[in-house]
Amino acid sequence: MLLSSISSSRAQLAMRKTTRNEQNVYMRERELWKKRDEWLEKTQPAMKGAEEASTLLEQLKQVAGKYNIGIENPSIGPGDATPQHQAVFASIETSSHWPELVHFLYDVQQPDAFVVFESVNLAIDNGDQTLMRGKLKIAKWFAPAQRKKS
Amino acid sequence: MKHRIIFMSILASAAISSPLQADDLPTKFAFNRYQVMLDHSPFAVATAVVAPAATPAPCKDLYVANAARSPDGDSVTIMSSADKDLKKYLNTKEPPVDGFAIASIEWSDKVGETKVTISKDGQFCTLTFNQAEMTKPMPKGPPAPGVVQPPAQPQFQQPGMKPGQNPPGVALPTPHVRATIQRNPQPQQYTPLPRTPPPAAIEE
Repeated sequence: MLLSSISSSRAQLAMRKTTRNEQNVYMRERELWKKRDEWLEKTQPAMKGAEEASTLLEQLKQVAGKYNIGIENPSIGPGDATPQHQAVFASIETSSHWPELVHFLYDVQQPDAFVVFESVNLAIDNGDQTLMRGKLKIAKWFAPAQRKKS
Repeated sequence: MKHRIIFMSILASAAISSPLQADDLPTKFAFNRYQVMLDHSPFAVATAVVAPAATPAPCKDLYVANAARSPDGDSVTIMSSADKDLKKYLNTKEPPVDGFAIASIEWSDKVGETKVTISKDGQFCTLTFNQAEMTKPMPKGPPAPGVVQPPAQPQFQQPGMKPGQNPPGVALPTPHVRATIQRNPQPQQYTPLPRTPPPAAIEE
């Protein structure tokens, strides 16, 4: 009993030390995080409505068309809504050569695009070993609704 | 603080995440950063196989149409089964014709067994007679005067008939066969079909 109490206390102490260390880091980097917070509030787009999912899919198609990437089975829908963000997603399957796929991933993912690849499944095409097939679930994270109100 | 989570999530989910400099805001990386990934795919993607340019086979479809010995040199006629207009007359004592020249002839007493080796553009190939041409039946010439050929049987064909099938109602000549004659003909009456074969007819 006593030993378990001591063990529990040690675990709690270790956890609090970790938390304190984190807070120390944040306090030391306060200016950095403040700057990033401001950047986030300024840059993260506000969600206008459910049509954002369709807009996201169109953006993906546009980038894919730029690199001759075939898109199959597109689907869209609303994503998660958390206190930190609200999202829409577009699921697509791609068929392309590897270099074009890398270009596609590069173009779609940019810090100020707030596009998140929630699920990525890449495999070599069974029919053509020179092609890659991808199953991608791509989300766009918008500013949370609370921030919109404030 | 609440934005810290989303901020870090975005950075983490983006494949282009990297340790940010302390005072930097997220910026777009140059594409060169991923050049290695382009050059060396983590997937065993096969490279497209480029088929080598097909070299024209100089002797493709060629065959020996004729070969003859002569004091003036052995002569060979070669033809092409693909190009009916291609016909080359070659002679061992004459210069090459359009690059074709006789390298050697392996004579045979058997019909169609003679082999001719020719050269074309530095390549050698051995030609034989076209067996398909040799097995063809000789074309029929006009009938000799005074020879009367039997008239050809008219062929009737109706819609729905298969080739070779006789049209219904058209009597075809049958070989003459004497009909069987019953010794004691009986009046025709209905009798059930026998289960056993009928007795053999007694021929006259």
